[in-house]
Amino acid sequence: MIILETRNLKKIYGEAETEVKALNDVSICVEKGEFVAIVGTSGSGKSTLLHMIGGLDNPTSGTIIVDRQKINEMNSDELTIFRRRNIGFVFQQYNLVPMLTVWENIILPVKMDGKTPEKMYLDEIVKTLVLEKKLNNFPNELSGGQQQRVAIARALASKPKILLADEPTGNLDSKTSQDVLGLLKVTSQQFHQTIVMITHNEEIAQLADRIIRIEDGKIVSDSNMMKQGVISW
Amino acid sequence: MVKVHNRDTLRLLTRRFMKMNRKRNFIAVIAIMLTALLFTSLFTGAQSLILSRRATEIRQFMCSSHAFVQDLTVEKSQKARITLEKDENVSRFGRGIFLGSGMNSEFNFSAEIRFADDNMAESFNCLPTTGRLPKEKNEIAVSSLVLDKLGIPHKLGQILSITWEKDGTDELQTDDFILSGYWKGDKAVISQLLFVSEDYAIANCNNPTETDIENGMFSGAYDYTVWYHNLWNLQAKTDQLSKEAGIHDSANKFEVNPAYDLMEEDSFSYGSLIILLFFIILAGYLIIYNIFSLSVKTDIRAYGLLKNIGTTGKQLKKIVRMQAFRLSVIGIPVGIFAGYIAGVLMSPSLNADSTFNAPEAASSTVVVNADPVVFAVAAVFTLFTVYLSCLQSCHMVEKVSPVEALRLAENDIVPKHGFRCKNSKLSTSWYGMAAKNMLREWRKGFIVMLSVALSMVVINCIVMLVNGYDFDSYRKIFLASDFQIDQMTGTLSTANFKGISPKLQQTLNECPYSEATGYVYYSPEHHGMESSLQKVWERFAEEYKESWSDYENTEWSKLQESGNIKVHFLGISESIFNKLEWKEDPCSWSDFESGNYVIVDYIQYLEEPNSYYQPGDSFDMHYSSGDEKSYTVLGEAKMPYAIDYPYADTLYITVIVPENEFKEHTGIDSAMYATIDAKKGEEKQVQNYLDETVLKKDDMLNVFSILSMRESFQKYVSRYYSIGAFLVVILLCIGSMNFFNTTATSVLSRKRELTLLETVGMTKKQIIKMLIAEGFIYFIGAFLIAVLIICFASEKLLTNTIGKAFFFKMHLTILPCVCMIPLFLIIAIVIPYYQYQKLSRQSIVERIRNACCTLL
Amino acid sequence: MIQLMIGMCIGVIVSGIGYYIHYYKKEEKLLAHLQQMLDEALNGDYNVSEFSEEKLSLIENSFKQYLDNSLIAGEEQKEQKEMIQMLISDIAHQTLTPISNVKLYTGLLQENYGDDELIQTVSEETDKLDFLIQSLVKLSRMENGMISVHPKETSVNIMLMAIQNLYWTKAEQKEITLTSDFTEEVAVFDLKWTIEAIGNIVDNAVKYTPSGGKISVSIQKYSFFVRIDISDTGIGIAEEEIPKIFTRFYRSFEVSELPGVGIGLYLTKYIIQEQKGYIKVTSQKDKGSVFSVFLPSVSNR
Repeated sequence: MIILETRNLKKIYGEAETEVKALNDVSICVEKGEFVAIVGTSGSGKSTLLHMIGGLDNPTSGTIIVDRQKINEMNSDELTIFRRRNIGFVFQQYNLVPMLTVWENIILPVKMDGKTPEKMYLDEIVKTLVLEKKLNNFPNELSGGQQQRVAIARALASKPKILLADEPTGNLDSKTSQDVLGLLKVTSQQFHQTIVMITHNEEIAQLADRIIRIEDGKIVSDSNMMKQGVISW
Repeated sequence: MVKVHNRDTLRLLTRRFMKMNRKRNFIAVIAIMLTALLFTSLFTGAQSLILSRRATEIRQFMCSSHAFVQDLTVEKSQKARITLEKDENVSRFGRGIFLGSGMNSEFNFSAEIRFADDNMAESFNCLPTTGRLPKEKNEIAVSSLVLDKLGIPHKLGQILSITWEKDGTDELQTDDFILSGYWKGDKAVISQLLFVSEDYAIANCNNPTETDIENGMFSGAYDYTVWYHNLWNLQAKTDQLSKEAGIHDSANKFEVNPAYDLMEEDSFSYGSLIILLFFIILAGYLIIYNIFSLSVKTDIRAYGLLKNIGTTGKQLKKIVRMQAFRLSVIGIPVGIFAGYIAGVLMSPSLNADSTFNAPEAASSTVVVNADPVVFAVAAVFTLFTVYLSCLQSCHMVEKVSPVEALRLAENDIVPKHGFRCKNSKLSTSWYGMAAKNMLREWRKGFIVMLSVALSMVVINCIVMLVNGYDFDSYRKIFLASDFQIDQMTGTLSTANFKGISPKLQQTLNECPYSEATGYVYYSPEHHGMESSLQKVWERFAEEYKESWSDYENTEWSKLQESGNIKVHFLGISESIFNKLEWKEDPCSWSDFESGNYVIVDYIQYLEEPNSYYQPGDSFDMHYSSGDEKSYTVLGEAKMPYAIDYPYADTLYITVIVPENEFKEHTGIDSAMYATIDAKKGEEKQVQNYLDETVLKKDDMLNVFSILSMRESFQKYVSRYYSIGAFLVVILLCIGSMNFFNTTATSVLSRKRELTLLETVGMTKKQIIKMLIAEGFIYFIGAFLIAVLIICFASEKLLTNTIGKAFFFKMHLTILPCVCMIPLFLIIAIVIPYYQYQKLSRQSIVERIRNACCTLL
Repeated sequence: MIQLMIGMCIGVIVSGIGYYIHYYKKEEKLLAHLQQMLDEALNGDYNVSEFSEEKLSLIENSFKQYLDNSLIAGEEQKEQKEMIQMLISDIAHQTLTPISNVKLYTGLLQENYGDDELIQTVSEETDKLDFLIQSLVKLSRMENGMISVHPKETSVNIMLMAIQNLYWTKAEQKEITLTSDFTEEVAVFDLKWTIEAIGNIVDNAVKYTPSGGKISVSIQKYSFFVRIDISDTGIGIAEEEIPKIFTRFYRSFEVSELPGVGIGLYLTKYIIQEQKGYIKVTSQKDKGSVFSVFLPSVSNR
């Protein structure tokens, strides 16, 4: 089942001569449960792509379809609510809400929808991400890796259709990165979570089931599009 | 539509945002409190002014009901009664019959004989406090003043012999009554009342016909007084009563008690209320706006993050508004309480103003009450101001772009503009940077400047006001001499123009402490106009006719028809002569004393030539007593305002002769005014002398002394002192809080930027210098704005609003502003210094890390 | 009059508010009920709460029908899948004996007729078939839940030793050095199945590493994982292919001439995932590959 699709996505900043094509005709397709890494150097347009998929930014032209809904046609408040219900974010800077405790941060998206958090599900997440002992701490009392784990827990709490990760380990040392991403990977395996992650780090990208490379706003390779190998006995 | 239940979450966020902004909360609560305080004290003051004025009027005009109708014939009375009984709006009504005036020789006040039921008596404020209203034909209830005059002890059952005159006739009637009740009399009222029973009234009056009443024979006419259930829409209800009862000729119909007529211009200035309201809203807005805008700017990343993870713009707006509301919930009640106290403390001095004219001063009543409506209105206004102030912040959080917030979080907050043109020497020096920083946030800067400037302007204006009141010009209006004695009252009909009898004059003349004693005598006379005089009046009429009232217009046509003009004919003593305000050179008393000369006035409000007569013209006087004499005009002069004919009049001339000449031809030997100039420093003795000799005998006399005048002037000015001091304190608070807030947050919010500057190599000293320079720019800007406003607007503003008093002289000054410079300088220097010192206690590395943490 | 009007206005407003509150409450209740229904359905324990003339009851009924239908469809699908798996499993079991026999007789043939090339080929193909069938049996058992992993705290070294013993000879034959770190780390895994999983990787490494190459197994400790790196100096894998090597029956073009069935790594990934671990592969063409297996460390539990 296709959960995410972009068709001929374009994003152009500036006018005429100073025009910068951040995204140029990007079409991708992500299956439910896939772990996709979008790899590119900084300025390649990968962040722009991620922001658009997450409804944080509007494309100049093209279509974004998440779970059969065209999100490029929504207004800002609709987008926010859509985001709250369908997209989980994990950012490089963790972006936890500083004045809320870890637990409050995790359940915030669920509570925003007026739902009672599913205790069992959340306990499972918290356990998998090893956050049991930190639930009542405030974000600034945690290390970077811990904060990022909280961010992952928050992203998963609302059972989003897609989890978007933007350089999730950009601020972490390589060992912690491996830990955090390992947990992300294990969690996603456990909950069959669709993940789209952008990174410039090759090693991290290896964790994904599929790697899309993007350069100057264009897709240059996609491991999914390669010719299939032979099936032999 | 049923909404998703996320209010709890929003509340949680609100709580946490508030927890994060403790300092801001404190300042904001104070600001909201101050705003509420200003509103409450304004409303309490205004309400007290209205109520006090109403209470005073009720007392003076002897009518506490909502509406009344007077002078009805028996038939009309029946109709009125039926209507009143039927009408749903009427809660109760009173009924009375007017008989005539009390004519006992002992009375030196006007007295009315009436029948009144309980309600009517209550409306007159004359309900017996001891005993009851008369029931039997021979019973009577009177005020204690009447008893005192008749020399009868305050005891029920006493026999009173009352002589009275049936109104409109000359019939006198004397009867003995038994005292059935009395109450404490009030000297301030129009006339003293004597209530008889209905039986007596009906038996002893004519039943007046319509024509009788038209001709002013009111004896036996019925009065009704009406209370409604509420004060709402009095005019319409009253008109409806008139209509239903069929009583709607212009002379007698139901009328609203003027005391309840709030829109009456002179009782209260709605204009100044609105100006003050606007001003408070502005003052509150400036500070609260700044507080919120700063705090939202500091927290903008947190708001952006929330938006990222699914909080909509509307919800963010709600969070900001909920914070404002919570702060208001704390601030408003405290402010209202403080404001109420301030209002109560100020209202007596507020009322000093409305009562500076002396006869009314005695009867003024101060009413202050804690009205929940006032508090509610103040709360609503404060909330409104807070709401206005948050609008911009709300807009800011609503529109925060989630991507922008990401960038804010991801990239270090490098100054957006301002530090770019590094090639220019100016922009890298500390003062250049300060200027750039200012320009970067010019809007915030402007608001701070405006708010500080506002404080300065108001403080300046208050000082100007207080300085502008001039005792001498104030005194001149009310007193031409140190002491002045008369029996004038607030209205023409009850005034006694012959209040200073020869016997009294004798006593006054004997006062050992007086330097000079003088008298002014008055007699209304007429004079056939010469053609030259007529021309002057025609010119006058041409110019002013448009603004004349109906009364003045009819007077004018009468005047043209008859050719006779009213003359205020005055006789004066030498000491008064010396006080005359001459148009040209003063003349000598010895010439004038001869009796062959008159002094005439001129039309002040007409351009030259505005003289009625030239000196040397002859003036033929036809006295109403029949005497005729031809005088020569000695000169042109006006009487001092305080001892001139005291009532409003348009078409007349004033003619002045020496007192002996006056007495000889008019036969009047009682003066209208007596004036006493005390020997130097002996004003007190004169006062005591007057108290002991004159006032003891006759307390209906008005004595105005320079002493009480000084006191009342002080009271009047102190009103501005107290309001002024109050405003000064609050505005200084607001101004300096704003200034403080801006400087403090400009350091805190730029923690990282400043740290970066320090890492790049700016020394601590340079940074502090830069911060202080920024403070200076704010301050200088505020000062300039303030001076501009003061120079160009304040004069007009003041003279048109509060400075309307005739004894107000404007002196333009910016001295108070200059005096405030040190205070603001201290803030401008100390705050950035202190804040930065506090900041730089941490090492640079620590600070960068902390800044990161707080950002995330 | 005015009072009457005001009274009426107030009356209208009050009753309006009353109605609004009433309907709001009603709607709220209804929506809450629907929400509960859906939540129950999501958790799979939905049942119709009442049968009445109310429309809500009808909706509940229809919803129940819809759920039941999709449940039946799902179950049918599951049954079909199970049938296929049963079939595979049966075939596998049934073929086990014939294959053993074939192997036996091939051995006898070799003994009797010497090392004939044809017989050699038959023997190799039989081994291949044997491996395939064995893997299929394991896979089908695992997928059917007939066997399951039981992770518990186990010394990683024990596992490494076992693997060393298993593949040492094979490597020796190909002149490949197989080295393994000594470690004191403890991780949470099922020893038997993990030996199987990692053994598959080592087996592949031996297979795709030319003679004279090196295979080393190293250990690294993370906060939540113990990482086991199996690096070789073999032919390497193209980046695009990496995700695919873990899919069932995938074999790269490059190695199509080498023996292999393309099921080992699938099984490996499956086993590791079941133990809450994961696999990462980095590879450079012609220089070798590193398979990193992450097993949950003790602190994770």
